[in-house]
Amino acid sequence: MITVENLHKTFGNVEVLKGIDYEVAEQEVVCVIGPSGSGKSTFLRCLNALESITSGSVVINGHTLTDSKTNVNTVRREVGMVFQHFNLFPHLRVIDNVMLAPRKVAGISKEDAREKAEQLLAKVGLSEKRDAYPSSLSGGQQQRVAIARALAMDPRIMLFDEPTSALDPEIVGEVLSVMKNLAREGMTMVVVTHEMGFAREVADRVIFMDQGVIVEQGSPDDVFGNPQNSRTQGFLSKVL
Amino acid sequence: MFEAFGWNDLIPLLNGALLTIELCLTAGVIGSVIGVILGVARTSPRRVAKTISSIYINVIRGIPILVIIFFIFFGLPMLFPDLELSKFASAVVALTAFSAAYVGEVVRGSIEAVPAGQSEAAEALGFGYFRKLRYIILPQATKIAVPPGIGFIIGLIKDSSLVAVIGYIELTKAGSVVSNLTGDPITTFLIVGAMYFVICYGISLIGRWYEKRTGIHITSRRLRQPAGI
Repeated sequence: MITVENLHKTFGNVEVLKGIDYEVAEQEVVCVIGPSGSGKSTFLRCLNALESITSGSVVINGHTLTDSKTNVNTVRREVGMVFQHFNLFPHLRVIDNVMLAPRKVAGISKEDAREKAEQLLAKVGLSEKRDAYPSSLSGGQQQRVAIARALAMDPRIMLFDEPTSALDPEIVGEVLSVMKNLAREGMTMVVVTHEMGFAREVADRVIFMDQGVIVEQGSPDDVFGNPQNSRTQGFLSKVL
Repeated sequence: MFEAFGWNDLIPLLNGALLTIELCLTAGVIGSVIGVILGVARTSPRRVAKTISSIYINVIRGIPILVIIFFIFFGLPMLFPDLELSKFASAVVALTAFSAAYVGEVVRGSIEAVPAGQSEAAEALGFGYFRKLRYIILPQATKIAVPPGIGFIIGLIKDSSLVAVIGYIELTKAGSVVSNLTGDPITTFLIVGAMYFVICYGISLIGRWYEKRTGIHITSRRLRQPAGI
């Protein structure tokens, strides 16, 4: 579903990704962990071309992102993304946040978009907030709306960029439980996270990144229970 | 030969005030439309659009408006002998050219003040450049643009007094005519000043009302102020 080969990314003179090779299968949940500045968010953002790719190849759902003939927007419609800071549209009500892309990008009718948005808001437990503006919602509520907004485009892959890092500890759980449900339904997910408990419980595979490379990867039990690389061991000993 | 300032002298001043409003409205509206295009072009990923817009804005902003007025009124007819521009048309063209550059700069600042995450969220959902602009960026930028935009319009009304030099009888020119006729510059220009004040203050009240009405949902807490206006 996602194939990454020899992915390099440089910002100016700084090489942030130094040759990433990875494959994600359909319905797989992959968690990416690692210290700040390890390149994990950049890696994630290369998967929907929010970052331009310096070299290497990224194939999403059969579309080669790195091919200049590929229409990036077609690929992005199949890939949902959830951001650390939610990035809801502040000038639109919750329901309109969810309906906008289906209507204006996918071109489906207002009635269908509304029905779908209402289903999704129910799914993330926020039906009663449909007419509220994002600024009146808590962080956890905003992030759940953001998940509904991404799901409204019927993506085949969901990318999560530290979805709970900006949340107060007591509301992290409500967002994680929505994500768990999504994983259970078989969504293909790549999650950059600091929530080791979530990674351990939900991930099929865990990637540990440091200094622009994948240092170690494997099942959660292997990576958390029996890390081979000394950098992984060092990182885990600090966060667990 | 002089007569004292009388009620009758108010009529040319009121006329002048109306012409000032007409002039600024015309130049302001056309200038704003061009200004929005310039501002959007200035923030676009297309280098050609960006360069053209940026040259225009910087050149106009670097020239005194009086020079622009003189150039249009005296220069253009020499360059294009067939062109017949009335005083009103010359004034409109000059003020429009001026407004477009300033509004362009306000629009650029406002677009850039919309947090980058908004653009990313729209792109991640598959919005192309123009749809993103239309549904996500411009609605937010518009609200940000209102305070500096109102400030600019007030400036434009005051600067429009400069077209008096080409003899167009707007409020300031009407004032100087009435002052000469009545020999009472004190009363005349106090009234002229009061008229400018009423127009400008009225506009700032409208601006404040609009801000209050739309301000609640303006944008996320991390909003930055537009820079460089």
